[in-house]
This record gives sequence, structure tokens and C-alpha cells, in this order.
Amino acid sequence: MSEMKEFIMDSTEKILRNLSTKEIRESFEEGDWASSLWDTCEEAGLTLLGISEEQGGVGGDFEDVLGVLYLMGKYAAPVPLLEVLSANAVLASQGMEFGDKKRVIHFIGEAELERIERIPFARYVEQVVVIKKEGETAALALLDLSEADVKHHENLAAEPRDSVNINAALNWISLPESYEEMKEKDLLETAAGKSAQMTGAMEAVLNLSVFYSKERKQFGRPLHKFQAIQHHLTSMAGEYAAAYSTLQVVAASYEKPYFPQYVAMMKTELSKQANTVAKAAHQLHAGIGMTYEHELHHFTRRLWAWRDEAGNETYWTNRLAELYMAEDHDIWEQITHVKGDRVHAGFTI
Amino acid sequence: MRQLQLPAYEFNEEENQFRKEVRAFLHEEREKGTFKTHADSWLSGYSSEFSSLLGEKGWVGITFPKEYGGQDKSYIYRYIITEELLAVGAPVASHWFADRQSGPLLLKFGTEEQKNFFIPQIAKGECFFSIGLSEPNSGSDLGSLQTTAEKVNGGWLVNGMKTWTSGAHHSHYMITLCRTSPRQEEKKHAGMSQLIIDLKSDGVTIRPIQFLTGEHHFNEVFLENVFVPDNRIVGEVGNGWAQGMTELAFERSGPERILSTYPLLEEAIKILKENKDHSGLAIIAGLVARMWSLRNLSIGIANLLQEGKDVNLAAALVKDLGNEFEQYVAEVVRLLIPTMPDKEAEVTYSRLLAESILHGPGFTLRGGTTEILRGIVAKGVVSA
Repeated sequence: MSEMKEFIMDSTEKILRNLSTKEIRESFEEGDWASSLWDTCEEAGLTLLGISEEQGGVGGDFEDVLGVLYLMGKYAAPVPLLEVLSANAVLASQGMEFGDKKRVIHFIGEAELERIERIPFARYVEQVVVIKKEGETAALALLDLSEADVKHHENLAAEPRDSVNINAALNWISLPESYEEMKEKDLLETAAGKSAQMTGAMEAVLNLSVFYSKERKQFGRPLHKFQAIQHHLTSMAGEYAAAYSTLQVVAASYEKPYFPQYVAMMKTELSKQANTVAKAAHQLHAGIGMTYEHELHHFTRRLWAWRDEAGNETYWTNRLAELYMAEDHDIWEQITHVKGDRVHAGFTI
Repeated sequence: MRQLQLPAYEFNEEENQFRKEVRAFLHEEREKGTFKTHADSWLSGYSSEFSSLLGEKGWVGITFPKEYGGQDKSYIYRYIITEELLAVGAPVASHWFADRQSGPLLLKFGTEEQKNFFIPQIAKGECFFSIGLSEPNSGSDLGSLQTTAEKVNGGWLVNGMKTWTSGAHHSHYMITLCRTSPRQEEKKHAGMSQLIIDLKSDGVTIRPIQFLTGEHHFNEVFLENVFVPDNRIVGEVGNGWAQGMTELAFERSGPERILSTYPLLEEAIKILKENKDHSGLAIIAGLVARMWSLRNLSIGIANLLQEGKDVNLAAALVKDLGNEFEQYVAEVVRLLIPTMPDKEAEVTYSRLLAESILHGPGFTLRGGTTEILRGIVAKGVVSA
């Protein structure tokens, strides 16, 4: 870990420990915007992370971004940092103003010109950066939400995923980039960011489970002494360790040609194992874990919500299958990054 | 939870070139008919010729120091070799344990005489070791083992019995864990020592235990008044358990805990591609994602082992999850490409499927059962 990254991680964790508490998450679910948490994140420059200083950001790379998002997941922070960072990155790349307002991004299809759905935190942000296809390229507009008709919807974790009616005419600015490429880049980065958050949430779930297994006694022994419980703990620890290593590998692969495949595989695994971890933790916690009072559900509900966002296993494995169909594609070469002479098992049916 | 947070390792250009070289060599040998691809080849693929061929290339004991006939390369190089060998299902069982465990053990705890005598032979791919741990009444509860070594003039007299000893019928030596002082109830792991038993010694009887396929991989090794000279004790008398523990991370975290059924997976992909079976390949993509994820963890461990860090907890996790994966591959592909699995089949896929299914039970047992591993991990995370 670079010194810079260590500093960012330490200071972010300090903020989250104080301001992304169980109480703050609960009042968020009752409809209070976590303003002190968000403002502190902004002051710390987290909403400008990964954007170069020349472009008006605070510097740092994608690895730093994933590191911070990992912590956001670990503390189940009820703020749209990933979403705002995505919008800011796009605006920065276009040389447009950013950082003055909270914005999220949305790529619209043709059917969506009047109403857009599942906009993260729309009720709390000021604008949506809307991007549409325009001929061979893309066009961008800023949709003001202050006057817009925002209908409340939520994901499984009670995070806002609102729908917005587009009443006013939008001022479209043509962009030189291809719509598909912009959309793909955003999807990959969002999927990587979600995976980072999910890995963080897995750590929290594991930590809560370890704590409870030591604290809670039945039949005169702490839970962790029972072999059946040990299996649950190991399952969570294993998924977390694999996810953590994988996140580091993906972070180091940003801008490499295999980054898209890595993200596809990481999100596939995280989405699939989200329930492995959530299920084991709930079984271990038993009754107390299904109450609103215990904070386990802040993390398990996020795992269940996030596994379907930015592409679930079905989506990403179909994309990977597309790739495998190519004649010259070879799994072992893809995994090892080494092309060249190889052995095959021989004749087939 | 720091112990579970392993950094990424990226292979450098030189290492990638090396991988290419290994792969090209294996391709050539495979084409020449030197070997045939099998699932689980590190348990079942015995070929002393192939082992010595690898030894000639310098690919056995590649991490050993040059002065003892090794190449002084990092564990990452060893990782590359083992991974490429397993991906093609090459016959590597003969030298596997010597390369993975016995060599490193002797380099760490052995005397100069032992290093000079054993290490160069191992690196040539000509000296094979078995590991003598389990006994008829001591399986997972290894601390209860009963084989004893009694001090006599000039050495030790060993009596007892080892079981499930892979490859003892091919090996030259067995690193044998035995009691050198009586068991104490409160310190049941104390008083054990590791002895190198020459399997040709008087008093050694090796009897096959047939595997459920009828094949011969495992053995019972009877030890009756076997004399082991003083210079064949490894490290300190009484420190055998602790010494043995240092091998465990190597034993549990390597690619052989993930890739035992990889040849089957690759064959299945080939068929699905030919059939343009997109939905089948999508299911395979889920397996590949899992394999890659576990591999990331396994490589992270290899890199930390190089730095001498304690990674026992993460290593146990690779083995637990990797073994489940190895078994799961067969369960998934059999439904994607139905066939009658047959280990004598000429059709590669049917043969590899049969091998993968029939060898499956061993994956989650050998080198520490799933249940024992999970106990270790739980203890580790609870005390972290």
C-alpha cells in the first residue's frame, strides 16, 4: 500500500467510524439525509478522488477509489459516494463544472426520454447527469431535480432508487465519445466499485459474526466452540479472503486490457457469494439477527441489494460466454496472461 | 481482519517468459506422447522418467539454493511450474512431496550433511519422499499418534504403523512423525520427532491400500524395529510437531488445491465451444470466475510465503474452498455435457469426468479434512 493510500484509508475509516454509525443509518432509513457524514466526506475531498488535480480533483488513482468504497461498504455508509464519483469523473473528463453540486449519472435508452428509473439517491441530490445516444456519439444534459417529480423507491437495503419524470426540456450537449464506450466504462467502474463495497460489507458481516460467536453462550459454551458454527465462520472468512485478494488484483489491473474480464469475474463471484455470507451470518446469529434492532441487516441487506446492481451473475457470465465463444479465446491464457504454445487434453467426442 | 487481507501479486515479464517456456515444453512432450493428461495427476500420475526429465530442466526444487543443485528462484517460479503442470494433468506424483515439502523442510531444519546428501538428488527429480503422518488410530487427531522411536546406540529404533501413505511404493524415503518421548496429556504435541526412514531398511513392510477405483496410490507402512541412524533425525528431537506445522502453509495453499479437475473443465469448454453452446459457457464462466478468485488468494499466499510470513489461516481457506471447487467442477459439467463417465473411455471428456468424480472424495480429505480445516480457521478468526 502506498503511503498516500494508507493515509486516505486511515482518515476515511476514522470519518466512517464516527459518522456512519448504526444510529445514523437508522435515522437515514427514517428519511434523514446523513448530512454530517456527507459533508465530512466532501471536506475530506472524497467526492473528488481519482480525478487529477489539473482537472480539478484531488488526485489519487482508481485503486484509492476502490479502497475508499471498500470502507463505505464496511461501514454501510448511507451516502452515494460511488454514484457521485462516477458523475464527477464524467464531468471532469468533459471539462465541465463538477463538485459544486451533488450529481449522479444515468445512461438512458430511447424509451426513457420521459421517465427515468432507479436513480440512486435522486431525492437527495441536485442533478442527474443524463447521457443519451446521439447518432454515432453521445449527448449529455443536466437534469435539475429541485423542480422535478421524484417518486420514492428503494432497494432491499432501503437505499433510495427513485424514479424521476423528465418534465422540462433538456439542453443537450454533444460529446465526441461513443455512447456505448462511455456507458461500458461507467458500468465497469460501477461494477468494480460495487464489488469493493460488497467486499467491505463481507468484512463487517464476518466481524459481527465472530463477535457474536464469542459473546453468545448456549449449552454452557460460546457458539464458536460448536463445529457447525465453525463451518459458518470459515465459510464467511473464506469468501471474504478470496474477495479481498481479488479486489486487490482488480485494482492493480485498471487500464490494463484485461480489466473488463476481471471486473466481470469479480462481480460474478461477489454477486454469487453475497448470499453465502449473508446466509451463514443469519444462521449463526439466529433470532437476534433478524430483528431490526441488531445491525447485521444493514450489511446483509446491502449484499442482497448490490448483488443485482451493476450486473448480476447472469448478466456477467453471459458477457463472459460471449468472449469464450471467440475462436482464439483461451481460458488458461486469459487467466495467466500468457499466450503461446500450450497443451490440450486431446481428442473429444 | 488483517490475517485475511492478502495483497495482489502481479507476475513480471521475466516470470511470464518462464511460464511460456514451461508451457511450450509441456506441449512438446505431450505431443511426443511422453504423457497423457489425467485429472488429479499429482496423486495418481507416477512417472519417474517424467520427474527426472523435469529435474534435468531444473524445474524440480527450483526454489532450492544453487549450492545444493537448485535454481535459487522464488516461490512464484515454483507456482508457475506447478500450475502449468496441473493444467495439463502431467504425471508429477513421484516427486511432488519431495519438491513441495521434504526438500524445503530439510533446507530449513536439516543438517549440512542431510542437505548435501538429499537436496541435490531431489532437485534432479530422482529422489522421492512420502510423508508418514496418519496411523490406523490417528487420523484427524494426529496428536494421538503411537509410532515410537526409542533411543538406542547410534540411532533410533522405530516401531509402529503409518497409513494412507501416498506413493510409499515408489518413494525412497519417508519423513516419519513419531513419538520420541511418552505422551503427556496436557501437552499432547510435545515429544514428537521427524525421522527420515529409508524405505528399503530392514523392518519396513509396505502394503497397498486399494483406492476405490482399484488403483494403488495409498499404502500401509509397517515399521518393525526399524533402525534409523542419529544423522537421519530432522532438526531437534522433540520438535517434530512444530517443524511439521511449518510445512502446512506450503501444503495447503498451492494450485493443487484448486486445479485437480482443471483438465476436465478445459475439455468441457472445448466441447461447449464446438457446440456453440452459449448458455453452457455462461455456466462455465461462473466456474472460471470462482477458480480465478481462489487463485488470486493462493498467489497472494505464495508471495507472502516467499517473504516468510505466517499465512496458515489463509492457506487453510484455499484448501477448504479450492477442494470444494474441484469437486463442484465435475458436478456442473456432467449436466452440461451428458455422457457415461468411464475411466477407460477413449473419449477424453468421459475419461476425465470419471477420474474427477471417482477421485473427488479424496480432495476434501487429504492434507487435513474439511472439518479439521474449518476448526483451525474458526479458532484463528476468533482469536484474531
